[in-house]
Amino acid sequence: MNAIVPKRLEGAELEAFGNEIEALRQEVMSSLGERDEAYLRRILRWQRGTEIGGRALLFAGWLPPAWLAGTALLSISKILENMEIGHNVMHGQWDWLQDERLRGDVYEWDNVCPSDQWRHSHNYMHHTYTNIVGKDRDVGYGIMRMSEDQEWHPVYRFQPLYNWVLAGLFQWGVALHDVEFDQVITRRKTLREAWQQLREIGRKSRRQVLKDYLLFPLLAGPGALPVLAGNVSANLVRNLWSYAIIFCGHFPDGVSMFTEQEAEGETRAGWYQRQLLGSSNLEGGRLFHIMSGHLSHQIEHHLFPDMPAHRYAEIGPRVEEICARYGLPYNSGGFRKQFFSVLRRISQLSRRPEPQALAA
Amino acid sequence: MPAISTSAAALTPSWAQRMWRATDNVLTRALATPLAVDDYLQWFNPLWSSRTIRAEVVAVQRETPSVTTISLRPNAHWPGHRAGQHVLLTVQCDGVRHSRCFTIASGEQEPLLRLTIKAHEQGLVSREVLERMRDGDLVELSAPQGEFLLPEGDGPLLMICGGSGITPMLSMLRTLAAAGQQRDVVLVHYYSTAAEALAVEELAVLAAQWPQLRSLGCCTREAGQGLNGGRFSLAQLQALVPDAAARQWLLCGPAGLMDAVQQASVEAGVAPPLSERFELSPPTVVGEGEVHFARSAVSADGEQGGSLLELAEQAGLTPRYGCRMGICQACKCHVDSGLVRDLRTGEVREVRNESVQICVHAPAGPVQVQL
Repeated sequence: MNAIVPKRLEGAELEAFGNEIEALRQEVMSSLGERDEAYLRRILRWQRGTEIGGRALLFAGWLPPAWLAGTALLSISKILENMEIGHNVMHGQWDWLQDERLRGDVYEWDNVCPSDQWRHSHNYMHHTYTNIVGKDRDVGYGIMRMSEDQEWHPVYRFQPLYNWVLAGLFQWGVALHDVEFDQVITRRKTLREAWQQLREIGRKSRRQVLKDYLLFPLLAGPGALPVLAGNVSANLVRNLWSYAIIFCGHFPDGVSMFTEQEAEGETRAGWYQRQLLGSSNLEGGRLFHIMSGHLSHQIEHHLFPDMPAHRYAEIGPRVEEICARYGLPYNSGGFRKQFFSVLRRISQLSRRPEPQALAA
Repeated sequence: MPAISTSAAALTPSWAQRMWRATDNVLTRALATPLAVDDYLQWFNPLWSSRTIRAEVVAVQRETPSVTTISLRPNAHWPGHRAGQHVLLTVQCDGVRHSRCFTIASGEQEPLLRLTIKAHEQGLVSREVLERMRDGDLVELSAPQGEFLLPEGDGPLLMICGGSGITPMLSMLRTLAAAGQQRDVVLVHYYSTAAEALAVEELAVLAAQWPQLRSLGCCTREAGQGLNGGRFSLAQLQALVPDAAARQWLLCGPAGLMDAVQQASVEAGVAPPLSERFELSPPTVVGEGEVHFARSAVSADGEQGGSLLELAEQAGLTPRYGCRMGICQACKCHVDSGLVRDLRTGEVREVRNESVQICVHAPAGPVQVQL
């Protein structure tokens, strides 16, 4: 794991690489228009449609085929809303449409994590300090050991187990992420700040719980139980799926981690290089990319977080070609292979590291 | 003679409107959260909304080479307008939403709302209407606005207008005609060339049925057309309309005409004309290269360099920010208007009512920021 340290560019060569990536960004951003808007409207229509259809079918949920179809549609709707719509809208990818409903700084997604906290922990912390151990809190989310550079602690022995708890409750993990309990314990953050955030999470999650676990079941009257079960299942399916996609983005074999020193005084080109080396793509068909919110194009997403995500697939080959010319790796693999390499990493890093031989 | 007033209709919502508003209530909001009730209504029909005025384009008619009239069928939220009022029209140009004000040309009683729009060289929205708008397109509207209305009573009127400034006058004439009112009206309409004259036939028909209506078209740039009176002057007006001083003046048109008529009204010793200005309001920014932070009423010198964020901080403000390199969008601020330079690309662009990442944009001219 991480045995081969990939080449890193420096100086003029690094700047040349950065300029090519920047030129690509400008080319795409200046070509945005009607086609992109039409794409997003189609996705919005599908998301609304699958939700309306799914919830309607669940009202007939005592019929097993209706329950299965309803749960499937509602799961698809929740995945689309969180990944292809919410996550991307909140990155400001669609701000240029000038549509009040799709503004990155005000959009609320169907997730128990308040959008404002997400914008801080994800858009700012994770996308700025990507894979810098000690700064990017997405490296292990404060509860897991995902890099050799993280110090080992006996609690990590159990991470192959609680990893699955995190997967099943992923949206709750995401919600608590920005509270940074570890920082509260080490007194780098006040209890009052954390409490304020917890109250916001409470307000936000109460609305989802009320809607999915109380109001819609009550509306179904005698069919309340199948509706409740369907809604719980849809939230679970979305949790598992988004967990899997996100863990495949930064933790498979071949992805680099960085120290704070390595990132110090970094230019924009250096930042581009770190985004590239710290991310990994998933290969798949068009539907797979849409259902992953195009996070399957994690590399392109990290290079261009505010570019409408459906363009990533189009420019992927060009990014890969630039990387090839500069001798930089372009991590990519099938979903199954990448996911198993993530699980392997979780289990390997859970063990206490062997004391290093001093003179290797 | 019955007085014309639709103000009552504008104030009390119709039963249909009340029904639509009721679709957005505590329960439906809880069921729709975190999306809005409208997000779901629109899935069934794009015109459906609990509150927003949306309209379907049902006819697009070319009036002159540069003027188009669009007929709109609004949803239940359209409260009806009063002749002379304007509306904020929101359309999509290449995927991007843009809003501009246009005067309503149709009469108050007409079932369809008509906007007569002149395309300007630089006019993003007006060109979109002229070149690309089709039947079946959807637009969004504001409530009707404006205080440029028909004077109450039945006193004689003098309407002076230039170019597409004729639209509010047409709305007033159509409203009067439909109500069977034969008020004493003189319309003096200036147009540049015969091809650009609007509603010529309709005005002729109206004048034929309405003895007290006089319609005078003045062509300013072509010989042998209209009255050929050239540009507006007080002498010309007094020759055309001897009893001008006894009438209430109404005025709408380009800035040059407006100024000349205002001046003439002073000289003629009549009351200032009721008027509607058409020009885009110039940016409300003070000075060249100056950045104005509107909410805190602080200004900064844009020449001193640095991003808008840095300028704001130097001026003692504390805007929100994150990465300071254009990634995280935490610093986005509403810019009312101005010229900005993207520090990543060097590109300079004009911004109007837009959110801008202030950490990677610097002023390239006067800028007004909501900070």
